Amino acid sequence: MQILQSQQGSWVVLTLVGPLDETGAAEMDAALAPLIKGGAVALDFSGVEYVTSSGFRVLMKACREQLTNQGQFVLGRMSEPVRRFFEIAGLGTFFKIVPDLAPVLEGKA
Amino acid sequence: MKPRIFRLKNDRHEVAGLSKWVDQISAEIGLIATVRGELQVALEEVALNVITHGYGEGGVVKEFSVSLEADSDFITAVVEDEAPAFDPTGREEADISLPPDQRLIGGLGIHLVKNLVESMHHERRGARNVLTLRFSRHDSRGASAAEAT
Repeated sequence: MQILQSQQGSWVVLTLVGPLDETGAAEMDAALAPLIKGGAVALDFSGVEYVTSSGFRVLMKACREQLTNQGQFVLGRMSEPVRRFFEIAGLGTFFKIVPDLAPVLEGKA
Repeated sequence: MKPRIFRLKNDRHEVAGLSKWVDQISAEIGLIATVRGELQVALEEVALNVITHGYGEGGVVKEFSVSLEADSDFITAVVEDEAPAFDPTGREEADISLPPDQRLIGGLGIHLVKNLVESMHHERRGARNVLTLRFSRHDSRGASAAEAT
């Protein structure tokens, strides 16, 4: 998985490209580790093809840690099939998932 | 399409190759991306289960196989391993009505598999587990979801 990191205002945005599978989850875990100490983190899912349970586990761990540290953790720009994996996993409401990240990054949502 | 076989060893890094193999076959048979993704998730979950729980990583190298066959309506995948008898179809899955923090997290993979396949069947043949998974080639869930909205 390719992970591009950018800063947009107070937000750190990770753009994920590729499948969030066993390998992708380990890479995302490493990329998230220094970021989930609080603050605002957004994940751009537009380049993600699918998510396996390894991916969900890393996302849940990171989200929990962010909330414990009073940080923000937002997922956005998911395709319909990827969104469906979240629904099947029963995690559709566990995460803050937004269709478009722009309003969040601009502080309008 | 003739059945195709992919062999894996008991090392979790092997599943990346499995996904690429599914990519390749999907392109050959013109499988739609949504179904390809579901196939990849389900097969990775099953393969990881064999690697981490059935065989265990490290120590003696053990192999197992995944075969794929397609007709006009279904994709049939058969996973055969020589691990101790294990029937994932009978295993308790994650209760997704519970808050995520209280769930049996190990059950999430099998929960995904059960919800992605059309049907799933386990059989013990001698020293082997034979798990047969059937997937619809058509995006039925997507179509019904679109109708529902």
